[in-house]
Amino acid sequence: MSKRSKEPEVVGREVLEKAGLNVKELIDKLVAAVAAEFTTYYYYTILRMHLTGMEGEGLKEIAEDARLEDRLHFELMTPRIYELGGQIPNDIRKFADLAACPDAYLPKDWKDPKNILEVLLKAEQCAIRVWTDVCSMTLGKDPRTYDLAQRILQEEVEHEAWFLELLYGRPSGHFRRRFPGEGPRSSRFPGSS
Amino acid sequence: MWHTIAQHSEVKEGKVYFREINGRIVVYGKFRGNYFAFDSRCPHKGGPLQQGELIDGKVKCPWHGYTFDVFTGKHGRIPYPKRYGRWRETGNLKVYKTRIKGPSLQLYMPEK
Repeated sequence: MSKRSKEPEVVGREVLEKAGLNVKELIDKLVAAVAAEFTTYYYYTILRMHLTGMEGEGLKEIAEDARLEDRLHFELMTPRIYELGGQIPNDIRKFADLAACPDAYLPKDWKDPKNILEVLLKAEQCAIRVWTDVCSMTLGKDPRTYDLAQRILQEEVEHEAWFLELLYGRPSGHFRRRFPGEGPRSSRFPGSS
Repeated sequence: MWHTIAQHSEVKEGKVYFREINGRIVVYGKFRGNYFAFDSRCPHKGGPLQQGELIDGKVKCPWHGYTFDVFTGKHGRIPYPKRYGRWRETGNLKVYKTRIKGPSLQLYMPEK
């Protein structure tokens, strides 16, 4: 029986390096990006809870779709980090500190829902910048990561458009999701939550 | 090792340029007659500084607004309050030595 070498050959990574991709840098970017999705999911839970009253009730559902879809983004991209030979930190505190986007804290004057919407909007805009950066880095070099990142980016752009519409009346082309957090482009299992 | 990154006559005062060297994107330019070059990754959270703004000898990251001196790499005032804890911490920017050799602007990048 032949002896297995200690380090396996990982062709899926080798082809990326040959294409000129700095795989370590990509892993760092992806870890920061999925950390931002994870912390966003946490903070959006709080923000959503505070969209109260008559005006808040409708806003809750829009925020809920963004919240659940941001969690889906974490779920979609994290396995890819491991495929590339990376990992997310063992310590959740360290993970949160790595996030590419700032904590989406509940604003002091949260009773005006516009202030919560501003926080939600800024979070989505940060996510757009981050995933655009990943797409730029992987375009033409890493088709798999690019495909995953562009799917996430598309949903982040939708999220931004929703919050812009709510704050500024700018039409977003929003159609309701079939169910909360559908993730039409990012769900690993389309048709389930 | 020294790398030629541009013809120095093409580098205009106050503008920012970038190119890839050895798999890294480097940003370069000229401010008050002096050439500078630095790594494009923001030391805070990796933002693309080639898309940043050059303001009075500092580059401003488009992601979170951190600024760094383009010659020394030192970061400016941190734009997030202390409640953001360790998330707001940053190192300094990685800058490269530059020189003019004949018509070329060169930067020094250590071999891997």
